[in-house]
Amino acid sequence: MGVAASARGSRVLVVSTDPAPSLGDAFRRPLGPHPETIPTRRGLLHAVEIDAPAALETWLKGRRAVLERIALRGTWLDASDISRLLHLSLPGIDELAALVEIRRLAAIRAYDLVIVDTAPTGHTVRMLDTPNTLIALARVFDSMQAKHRVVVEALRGRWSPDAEDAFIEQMTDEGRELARLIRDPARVKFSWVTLPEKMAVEETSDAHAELSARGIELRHVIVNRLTPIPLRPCAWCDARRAAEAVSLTVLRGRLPDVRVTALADRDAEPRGVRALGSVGAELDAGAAVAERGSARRRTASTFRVAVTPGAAPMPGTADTRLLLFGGKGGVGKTTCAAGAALALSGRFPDRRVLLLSTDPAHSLADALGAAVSATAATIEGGPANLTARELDAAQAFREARDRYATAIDEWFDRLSRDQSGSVGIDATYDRRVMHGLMDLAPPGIDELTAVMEVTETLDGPAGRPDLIVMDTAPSGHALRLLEMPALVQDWSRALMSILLKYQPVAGVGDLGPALLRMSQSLGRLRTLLTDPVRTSFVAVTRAAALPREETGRLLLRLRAMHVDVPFILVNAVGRGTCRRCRAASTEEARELVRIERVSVGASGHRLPVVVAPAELPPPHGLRALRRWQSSWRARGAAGSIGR
Amino acid sequence: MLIGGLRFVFDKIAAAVDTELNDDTALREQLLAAQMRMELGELTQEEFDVFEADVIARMREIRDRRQGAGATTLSPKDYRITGIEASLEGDSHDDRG
Repeated sequence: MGVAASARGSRVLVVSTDPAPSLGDAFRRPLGPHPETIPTRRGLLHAVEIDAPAALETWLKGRRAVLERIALRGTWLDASDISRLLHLSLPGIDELAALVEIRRLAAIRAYDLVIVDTAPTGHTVRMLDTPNTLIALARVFDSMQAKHRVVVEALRGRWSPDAEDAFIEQMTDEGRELARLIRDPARVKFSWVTLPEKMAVEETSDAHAELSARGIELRHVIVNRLTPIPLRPCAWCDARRAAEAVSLTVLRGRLPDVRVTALADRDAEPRGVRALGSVGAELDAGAAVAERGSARRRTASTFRVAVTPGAAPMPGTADTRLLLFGGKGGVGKTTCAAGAALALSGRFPDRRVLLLSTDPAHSLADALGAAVSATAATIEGGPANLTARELDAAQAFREARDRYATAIDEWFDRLSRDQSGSVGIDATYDRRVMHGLMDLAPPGIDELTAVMEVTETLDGPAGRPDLIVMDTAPSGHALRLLEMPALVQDWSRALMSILLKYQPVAGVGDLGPALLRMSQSLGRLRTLLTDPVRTSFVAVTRAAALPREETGRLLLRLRAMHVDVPFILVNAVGRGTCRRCRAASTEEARELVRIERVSVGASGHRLPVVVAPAELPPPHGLRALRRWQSSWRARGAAGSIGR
Repeated sequence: MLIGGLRFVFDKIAAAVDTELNDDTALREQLLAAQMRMELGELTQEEFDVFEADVIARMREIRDRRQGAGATTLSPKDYRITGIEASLEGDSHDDRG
């Protein structure tokens, strides 16, 4: 769309806010946090991949002094406490930083159009909530400043607004303007991109509801990669088209008022300005979905690759406690995780397996074809030693937050009581500040809290799981979840230090043990995550360039974090017999070789590559998932993934 | 008023002494603070072990005292303020409460 708009003479900025961006891959050139010019024949095209931590640092740089002043005036913390806290990494603030950065970039130059390529569903929905976070943050600072105002008023008799007040007001305005902007259909248009697949359609329909709940109207859905009519009968194309037709009918039924535009699947992944421009032109032409598929034939509606003899590699050992499935959005993590959980519960009948989804856009229930709730429960018709659960991170976090809120209140009570009232520290404002801060919990903390709560039950009393198979959010956010324990532990330790400093006055109260438990439990989680015997991360990908490049980056990050990767799982391999499918098969084979090349593990060794065959419609329900999992094969070696 | 104020102070001291003698809450809190210091790396496991052994011994004493010859609780009835010795320096005030 960006290329097409610039071809019409517009000045366009394309921004990716995905923490695992693929924008540079699509343009076939490295991109960074500063706008790069993409050469086009007409107009102007700039592209940026936002680096959220760097963007946050830029934002903080000019404001740190003001923030320190406000905190110093408004809390009982001293300058060293505040400085220490302000220099810690803020966990999970990516979405907020990204949104603020988009506004900053858009203001640098007069662009006619800013196109934002967002992170996958769950986290994008969350990004749209961040203007409220900014307003809430301003409110916290205002509570701090309020205390100062009261003191000054008492001493001088009046208060005149200062630079700090101006800062707070500016922040509130910025939040309000952002909130208005994303709800203004005249200025902001949402195009939801989906695939003509059952699970993707379910996710789109959930996202539509989430957006509506936020007062954002979704009017346009782009269905990408619709299979063209094959020139001659082809099992893959026909089955795929049949499944696509069903998905599209469901989509139109669910979102009757939304314009649906179709994009045909291309013979090669569209990369580079020319190819992307032709996609944009097709989008501009706006081929409505209804126009296609009238020439549908009566053909077979299923497609399965002939299974080669051998055994499916078991994605875990008797010692595995935590098995994570991660990768780019849309590669089929959920289906793979569900298949693996079923296989493991069958292989180890004595173990209690929990299949857990941490992606805020859950799709476990869709893959299993059975109801899954926020509490672990066996699956209807499933094995007795397997439970499934879709994490309600927000709920888990609310519970944890309430526990901390009580502990904080109790500590402030001590602070004022022990000062015997007369010279007591008036903690009214501090209390308000602390409660405001807790409501501000950065995104991602909720997921971490919930995951911690689950991993802490590992090897617990009967009924608790001893193996967790985790379906994670797409790459960027799965990585964030893995990095977060260290960041949050830094915070809990800094807070513990401060608490100990004030211990002679107020003791450590209930807050002390709460922070201690949190730090210890984060420490255990960090040990668990980096223990190659107990934890494995299966990188799921597809035999295509963009997922492969993202997998390469994912593996590098996992290596840096010392997280074990037992193998790469290449999903949905195998095509039909028509000319397009044969060409696609050749390309798949090339990509598989390239994937083997980038698949390097922690100690520099080549990682095994496992192939999961394409199946149309995709495996759905327990029986289909079991059968499909048993057809996974390791490339090269026959069947065994030894470690 | 001066006497009343001092009475308040002595009550506080008595309460503090009582706490030291008969209440293990303070000890528990010290133990917790030590645990936090260990988590922060400010105390080694060995240092903590020594500290813990000491605290546990003191807790046991308190328990024994409670179970033994009755609690040595200091109540305001157990002591009486008989007089106050005070010397004032600097400007003298005509303030006798």
